[in-house]
Amino acid sequence: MIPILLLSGCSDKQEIDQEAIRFAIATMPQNLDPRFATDAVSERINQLLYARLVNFDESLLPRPGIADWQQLDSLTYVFDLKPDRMSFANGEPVTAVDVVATYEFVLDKNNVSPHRQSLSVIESVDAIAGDRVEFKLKFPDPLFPAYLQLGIMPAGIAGQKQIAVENLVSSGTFSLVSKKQGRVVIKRRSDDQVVVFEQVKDPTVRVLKLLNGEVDLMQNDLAPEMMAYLKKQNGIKNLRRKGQNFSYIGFNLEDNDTSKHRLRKAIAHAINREEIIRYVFQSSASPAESILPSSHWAGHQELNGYAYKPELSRRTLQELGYDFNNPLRLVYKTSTDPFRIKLATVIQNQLKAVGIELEIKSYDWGTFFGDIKSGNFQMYSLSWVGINTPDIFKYVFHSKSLPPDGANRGRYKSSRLDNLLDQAQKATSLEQQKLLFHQVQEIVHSDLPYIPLWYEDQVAFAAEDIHGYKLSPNGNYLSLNDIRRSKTH
Amino acid sequence: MAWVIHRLYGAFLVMLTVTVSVFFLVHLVPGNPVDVMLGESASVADRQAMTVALGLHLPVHEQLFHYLHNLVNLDLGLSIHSNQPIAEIMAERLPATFGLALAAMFFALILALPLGIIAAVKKDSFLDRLAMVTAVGGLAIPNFLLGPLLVLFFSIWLSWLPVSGHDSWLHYFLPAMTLGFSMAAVLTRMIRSTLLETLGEDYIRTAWSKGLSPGKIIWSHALRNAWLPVVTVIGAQVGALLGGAVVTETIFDWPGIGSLLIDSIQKRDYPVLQACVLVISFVYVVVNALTDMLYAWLDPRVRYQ
Repeated sequence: MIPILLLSGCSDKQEIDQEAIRFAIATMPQNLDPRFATDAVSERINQLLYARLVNFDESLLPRPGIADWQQLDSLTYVFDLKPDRMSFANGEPVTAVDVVATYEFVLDKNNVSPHRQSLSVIESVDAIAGDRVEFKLKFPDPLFPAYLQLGIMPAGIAGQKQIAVENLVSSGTFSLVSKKQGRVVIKRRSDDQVVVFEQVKDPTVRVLKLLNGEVDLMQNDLAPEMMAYLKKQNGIKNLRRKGQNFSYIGFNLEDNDTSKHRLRKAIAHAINREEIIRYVFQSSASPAESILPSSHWAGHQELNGYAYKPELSRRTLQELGYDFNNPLRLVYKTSTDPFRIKLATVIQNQLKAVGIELEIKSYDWGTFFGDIKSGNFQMYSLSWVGINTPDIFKYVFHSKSLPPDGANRGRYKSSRLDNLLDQAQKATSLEQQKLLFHQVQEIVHSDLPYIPLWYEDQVAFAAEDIHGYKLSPNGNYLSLNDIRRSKTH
Repeated sequence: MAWVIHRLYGAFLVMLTVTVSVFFLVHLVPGNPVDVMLGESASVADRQAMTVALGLHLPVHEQLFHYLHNLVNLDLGLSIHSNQPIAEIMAERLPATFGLALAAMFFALILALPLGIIAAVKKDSFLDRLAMVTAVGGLAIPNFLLGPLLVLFFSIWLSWLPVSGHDSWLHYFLPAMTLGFSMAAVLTRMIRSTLLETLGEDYIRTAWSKGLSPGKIIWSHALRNAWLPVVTVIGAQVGALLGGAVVTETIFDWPGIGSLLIDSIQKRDYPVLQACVLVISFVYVVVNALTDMLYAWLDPRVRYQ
């Protein structure tokens, strides 16, 4: 056992004190450099580590982050850094030069940042005073402030292509202590409260670690039956809030079968969402009608869902030439996530009741997503996570957004919709945009390139001595700014 | 000496075959690292730039040539995702894998040795049946079930051991037990059957007739000759353990080669994936060679041509 004991010496436990709050996460953040991070966990942790020019309010309207802004004309925005903004973790002040360096790095095509495309509207960015930054746009875009989500880095390192983790300098409310195998340690700059993100891949083990007091907090990525089990446990608090992450079934509109609008409608009427939400989700989801929830500033409040009408579905299928002797056979692709496969099986069963034979094919993520992007599918199910701006509709449904130029994976083409999306982009105010996006959502809801399914609730479980954590609709971790452990611990 | 050269030559061929096969196989899998790194929203130009930066624009045979050339210079390359040298990543992961394999082996032996010996000596008794039920149970229960059951018992009900992680020596117990239990089952059955066979030999009967003590007969005479097939099994099992115990590493968040392999497949991190496979095949080759040498030491009649 001696070599084993020697080997066990390699840990960073000494960095983590008893008062640290341990947050179990299913996947590690891929990149804590905000110029390159794209995955949801990295984005959430980076929101704590780096200050941004713009944040969002509850209805996802852009609100000042570390800067207030004014629109000088349709192509010019000026951002004034707030006097009470935080400095960098190394004590240096955050200046306009730092903002410019961060944005210029991402805009430089040689640096191949994944965020360059979303900022492609920017013509130039300049520091016009110590605290003032001017953005010039290539074309008017009233959504522009909402795009400014980059975490600000010091100009001294923002120009470097590769920054080692230990050299990253935070500008947010937390500083980075370490990132090692399966663990990210951050420290709140106001009071040195340490938060440890620990990767625990297996959901059952996450639950057991929470029960055993090895972690203090976990959020989402749990099957409903696990949630039900945890709710019954003493010493564990359950937090819940309506979510905004949109789940849907996508169709291939170039396929002989799924290109038929009446058939897609028949499928929509054959899926009993209420039952799935009640029994499979155990009521931890709410029905969705559009990518944007109705609480979003551009969300549509009056879209009527496709009610469960199996009789209507059967009749439509018969009129299309299908019946139980000659059933419609479709292939439904999904990931290998056990819960997604379970949902697919329930949908398979519901469609069988109206005479549709659904074959489920589950693949590892790379293969599944590769198939979806290349249009190699009839039906699939996925979710949109962390959608803030309504330009998602252009990205997902415009006929010029076929992969790799966008995410119109179903090859949906509607000139009427294209016109509305183009008009929305040229609109001069958010109010105008809102009206146009309402029309967009009505057309998408009626044409059914997607069957809208549900928004899964945000759910967290915490040890009893953890206080101040509140869930946000999009699942961000910003509430860690207020989290604390009670003194009785 | 000739034997060592022969083994090295064989090992080289095995590893070269594995490396080349895996290289082509990973390039056949749908999906690529550029998609994973840039996401769906990246422009075509950015996608192309990243493809060129990673050298993925070159024909596969040219990529293979570069890879082998670097390998000859002991350069495993950089991870596509973290940009970290792969040798560094392996150096971080290997101790965890070796530590867990050693601990699992240790657990398997301390369980299998007494069980196997008792089962053979007390053949058809209650103890024999109990040992065999334990062995069959060990083979029948998959690790993904045994792991959480052990956690439930030792961590939740008894609060003796941590659920998962890699911070202290206490963290070794549950993954080692999970991994070692099925190995113990195989070894118990193997020890029992080979010992039973040996105990029926004439020289053992002679030893009994000479009035030697049961302990002396079993330990000094029977067990030594029963070890050969057991060593073969241990060699194969240790090779598998060092190659990464994917399920166990996932359940217990063990930062070893197995979990790295899975991560690299999911992220399409080709160089890391290739390095993992190379290391695993190297470990297999080394363990097999060591097993052969142990054979010769245990049984002087065994000689290699």
